[in-house]
Amino acid sequence: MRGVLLGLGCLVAFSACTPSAAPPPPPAVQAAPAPARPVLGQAPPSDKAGALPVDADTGLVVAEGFELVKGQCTVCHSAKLVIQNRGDEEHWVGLIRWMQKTQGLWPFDEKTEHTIVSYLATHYGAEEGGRRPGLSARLMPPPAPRPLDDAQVQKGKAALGPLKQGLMGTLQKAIQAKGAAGAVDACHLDAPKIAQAASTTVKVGRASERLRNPGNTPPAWAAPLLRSLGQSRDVPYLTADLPGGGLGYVEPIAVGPLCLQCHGTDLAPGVQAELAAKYPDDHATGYAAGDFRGVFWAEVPAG
Amino acid sequence: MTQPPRSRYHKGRRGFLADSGAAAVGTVLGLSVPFARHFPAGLVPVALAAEGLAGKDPGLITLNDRPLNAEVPAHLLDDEITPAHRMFVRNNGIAPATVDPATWTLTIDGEAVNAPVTLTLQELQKRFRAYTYQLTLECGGNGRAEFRPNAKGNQWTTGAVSSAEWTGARLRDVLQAAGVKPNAKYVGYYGADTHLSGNKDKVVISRGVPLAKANQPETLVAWAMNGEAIPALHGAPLRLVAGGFPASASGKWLTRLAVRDRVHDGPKMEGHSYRVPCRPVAPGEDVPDEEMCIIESMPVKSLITFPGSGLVHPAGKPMSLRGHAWAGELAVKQVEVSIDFGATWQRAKLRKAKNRLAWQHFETRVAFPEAGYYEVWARATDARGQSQPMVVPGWNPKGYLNNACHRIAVRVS
Ligand code: HEC
Ligand code: HEC
Repeated sequence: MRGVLLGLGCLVAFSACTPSAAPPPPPAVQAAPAPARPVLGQAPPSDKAGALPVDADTGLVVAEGFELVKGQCTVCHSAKLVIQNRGDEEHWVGLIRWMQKTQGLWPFDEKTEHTIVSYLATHYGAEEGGRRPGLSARLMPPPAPRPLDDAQVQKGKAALGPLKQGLMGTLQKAIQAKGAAGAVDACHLDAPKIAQAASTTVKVGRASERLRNPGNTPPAWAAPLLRSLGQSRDVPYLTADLPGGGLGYVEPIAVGPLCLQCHGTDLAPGVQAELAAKYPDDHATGYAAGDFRGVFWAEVPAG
Repeated sequence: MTQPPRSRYHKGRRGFLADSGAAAVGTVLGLSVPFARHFPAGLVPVALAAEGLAGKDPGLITLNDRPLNAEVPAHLLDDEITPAHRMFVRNNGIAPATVDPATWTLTIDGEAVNAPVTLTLQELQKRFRAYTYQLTLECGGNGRAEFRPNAKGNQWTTGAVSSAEWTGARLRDVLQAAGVKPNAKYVGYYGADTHLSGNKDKVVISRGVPLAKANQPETLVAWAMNGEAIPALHGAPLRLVAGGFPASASGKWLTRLAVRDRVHDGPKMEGHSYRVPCRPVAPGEDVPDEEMCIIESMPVKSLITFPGSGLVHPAGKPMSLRGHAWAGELAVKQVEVSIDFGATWQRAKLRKAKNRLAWQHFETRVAFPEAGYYEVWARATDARGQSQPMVVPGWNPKGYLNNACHRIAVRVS
């Protein structure tokens, strides 16, 4: 009976699931992100970040006591609540007592509690700091961009030409031939191919904070530049130095009158239907002319 | 009299395991069975029940996905009236999976009513005159992330605040339906959310407001937000809205109001929850429960909502900026900004509130003397002359009431 229920559950409820007879799965482990100043809400562990792997399911650092903490502390709420908190042993013991007294947490034997608490105090230990911590990394402006006459900047800028022309050409032709609703289909089919074809040794693409196609998520280096350009006015481009001597280059994309047919507020019913069918999680409507839509990006290799 | 529905917690994604027993749950999670035996019946492990932010702005930052808690970056709070998709989410338990406005009821009882009464949502809407106010709701823990020693709980930075337009009956009118006795002191709420432990009898959170706050004209039993039905995450179909108080006083998925002859004593009214030391304490000091006082009016605060922090600004051009300011029960009388870490301040243009307890809007322009790195700080002052501190104010065990000045970073180049 139980087996039947679990079997059903595997189909209905979870993507990664073990049959009841099999041993528990080993933790899925991925490399810890590069060390960075803590970003609140998605803070890396206070431990020497980068030195330890983190569990892909929960974000918990994989170290002694990890299995116990994953098993005990992610049952009622997710691990996100655990890993955004910081404190010494006393802090974590106090928290466990509070949950036991008021939130239905079960008792632990002494050894279990000790393992949990020392894991937490080691990897999610108290933070130093005085009366006012500095701004977190995600709120800081990017470094000053390289000058326009820099060879890599020129290369990045030039590489975006074919992408822009390819996209604009396809869009205008498709609208003329098939109307806006029909052109959604053309963009859907061709936009990713155009970006691919325009990528030579310099990789190029488009990205936005409000995506239509999740495939247009910015590369990691471009995300802070995208965020910054979204708040900036009259800034023609930004750059980021990439590991190994490469250069990341981004340019803002503004919304023009033509774009409103598919990204504005009052979309024709045919366009709405096409978008709903092809992009169920579309965030790229509601724009007005002149708004910041996103960026073109280019990744220029060293040399 | 019928019991109000505690929850319409349907089977499905979450429900199927409730029947399969604790041992099965333990096996699924790969836990040792001795611990699984502690699982209360009905507990559905997180691994099987992540809640989503569907319909929200993709820029929201999820602090916790079960229970769902998400904050809004300052630049996404730029709207004068906060739209649903840019409203922060603070859930203490699991939101009811489905709600049925057609059968929803509200019970009014407690020691200090003449006769308990249960009203359907339709009766409420028919019987009482509806009022609309823009009301600012800020989580008591907004800003918690900056306290050292670290305070426990969701590490909100600046984004647990909203100011939407709420429509509903005045709480004081609704309470009259049951008749309020002279010994009434406090109004406590109960909602249809369920406890994380799965224990169906356990109340997640039941806070409320003193009678004087309940009697204010702007305190609403609301059924609409921004002219539409209240979204599921924000308390559909009925909730309390008590602007200016910590947002936890504004109970969601409202099923019951208890008019008490004492300070309400539901979960999260007591201990350290939504309380601060009655007298100032040193950072990290132990504070006994009886020396903690309930938070009522929130302190003066402001946010720069345009531009967002981290921008690049061309040298030689003035920069326009704007934002909102609010002060709990009070009005804001002045907002100033500084580009030199408080050495000098300039006054911003400040508008009056749309109504009491709505946030106010400010705007100004700043000129940067030369290229380089700047921070623009904003400081609001309330009608009583109290200003925001530039440093984090008095430490308290749960990290409430951080109203330190907001600031944005700008590279002028
Ligand atoms: C039986 C259910 C349950 C289990 C198991 C559980 N917790 Fe909790 N915990 C809760 C509830 C309920 C809350 C309050 C959630 C809220 O208000 O958002 C909470 C809150 C927290 C908080 C935030 C504190 C605060 O004041 O809001 C942290 C941190 C935390 N838990 C860590 C842990 C750790 C570490 C473990 C493992 C030892 C654990 N939890 C196991 C039920 C549980
Ligand atoms: C005919 C409808 C249509 C018009 C007109 C249109 N777009 Fe789009 N746009 C789309 C579709 C469809 C996608 C998704 C393409 C894909 O699947 O990669 C898209 C994607 C984008 C993206 C990539 C980021 C994302 O959200 O996936 C940007 C940037 C963009 N459009 C900008 C513009 C601009 C600027 C204009 C005006 C010059 C414009 N669009 C006009 C339909 C349109």
